[in-house]
Amino acid sequence: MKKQWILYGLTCIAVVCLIFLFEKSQQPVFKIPILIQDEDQSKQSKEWIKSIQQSDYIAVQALSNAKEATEKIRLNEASVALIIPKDFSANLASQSTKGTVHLVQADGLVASIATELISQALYKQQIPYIIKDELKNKGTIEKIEQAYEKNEPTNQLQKATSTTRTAIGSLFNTFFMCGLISLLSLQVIFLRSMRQFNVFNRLKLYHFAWLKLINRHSVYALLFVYMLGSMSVWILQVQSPLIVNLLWLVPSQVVLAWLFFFVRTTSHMLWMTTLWTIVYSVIYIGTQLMGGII
Amino acid sequence: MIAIEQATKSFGEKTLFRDLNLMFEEQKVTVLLGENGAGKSTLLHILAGLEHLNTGRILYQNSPITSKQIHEIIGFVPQEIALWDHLTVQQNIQFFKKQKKGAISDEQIKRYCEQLHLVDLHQPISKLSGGTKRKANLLIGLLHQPTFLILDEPTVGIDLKSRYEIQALIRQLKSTCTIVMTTHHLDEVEAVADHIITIGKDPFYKQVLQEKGLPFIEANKV
Repeated sequence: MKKQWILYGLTCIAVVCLIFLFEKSQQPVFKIPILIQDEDQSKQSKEWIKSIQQSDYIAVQALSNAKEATEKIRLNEASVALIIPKDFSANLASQSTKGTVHLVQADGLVASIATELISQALYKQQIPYIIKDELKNKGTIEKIEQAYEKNEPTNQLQKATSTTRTAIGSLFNTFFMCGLISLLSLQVIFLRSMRQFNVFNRLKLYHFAWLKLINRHSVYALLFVYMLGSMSVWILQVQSPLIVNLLWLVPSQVVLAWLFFFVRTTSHMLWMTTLWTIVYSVIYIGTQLMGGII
Repeated sequence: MIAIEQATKSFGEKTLFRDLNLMFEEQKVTVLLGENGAGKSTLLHILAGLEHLNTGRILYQNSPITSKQIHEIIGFVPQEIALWDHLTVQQNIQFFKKQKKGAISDEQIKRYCEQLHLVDLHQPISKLSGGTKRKANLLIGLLHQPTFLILDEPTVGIDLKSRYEIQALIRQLKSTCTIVMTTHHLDEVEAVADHIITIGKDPFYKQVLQEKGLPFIEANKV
């Protein structure tokens, strides 16, 4: 009995690993390497660097020696090198950053994109000071930064990327759910030693014992598969509506429990389980293609 | 006193018995004898509330009784070994004890185990001998102090010593409950039966009982 639960668990983990490998193979991520040397080491310079690092398309590497910047660009180790001078924070406060930041850029579109992203991040740093100036120095810079962050418009590039990620996530979730439905149906194989109909008959002598057994079995199976599903989603860092997935698994489990506890002939039970799994998966895919019931 | 009144049971086109009337006296052992397919096990299942009559009713102390009420008072020991294969005897006992209130004490269970010479309580059922499984199967039926005990061939396929032990226990139990059982062993009938009822069409059983001088009642039949 214990061995069969272990086998069931190992199978589920193996499937999760396969899903993980599949997911990784489908998502190559290209990041533009840039070099940054922060001579200022101020709060503002660090915020700027942090803002650059938050981009999904930039890989920041530390530049130890400013003199090496040109060489590294020439050797294609980076597309852009950024050197933040010591008076950066002072210049930022006085809104005179033009010409104070040193930038070495490679030729080509990729370097231009990186430079654009760096500039956007710098501009974002300047906005609170601009606003403060416009308000004739009413309010502290911290409050203005808070207000700015609250009302910042959505980055269109990020939004488009998120939409794409959601779309990929929906497609992934459809296949993921079909995988969970199949995993759930494997209970009829791995737990077949529990199909002891003599005991089932005996349990009918006790009020609700029969029903409790079926319910307990179903809850354990659902929880087991749900936990594995949750773990997979967490590992893969994808969007997946877990509660909705669980709701979809419940009707499947009801039918699987009926097949497991009431169909005595094993071959019949296996055949009907296979058929049900296929039919239910098709129903699920169909509803998703039509926009989903839930 | 438990009685079956005007009972008819059919499976599809095959009728097992029609307008059957039987009575089982309190604190007595009634043995049902008959050929295979006569309806003995079905009758026991009906008495246990696991099957339903097409027509007729079951009476307990002259009042109709429902399946739910039957389940409160009976202990049923099926012919098949109805224990979890992967669990030990002890685990099976604990599992079935929890299914209903009014279970016997651990001391009483221990006494039954001693009477039946039931050892190997910590071995999985699948690894036990046939005789030990039968004894464990019987013990489960006694866990909730039944006043009506139904035994479907309790000694089939086991050794002579185990059969004697079970028969001794049956004789002891009849002082506290009404027992109805089936068996194919004539010596067992002689050993435990207070009343014998023949069921089925085969005249063989009546002839044997007459030769042995054992009084019996013939059940109404098709």
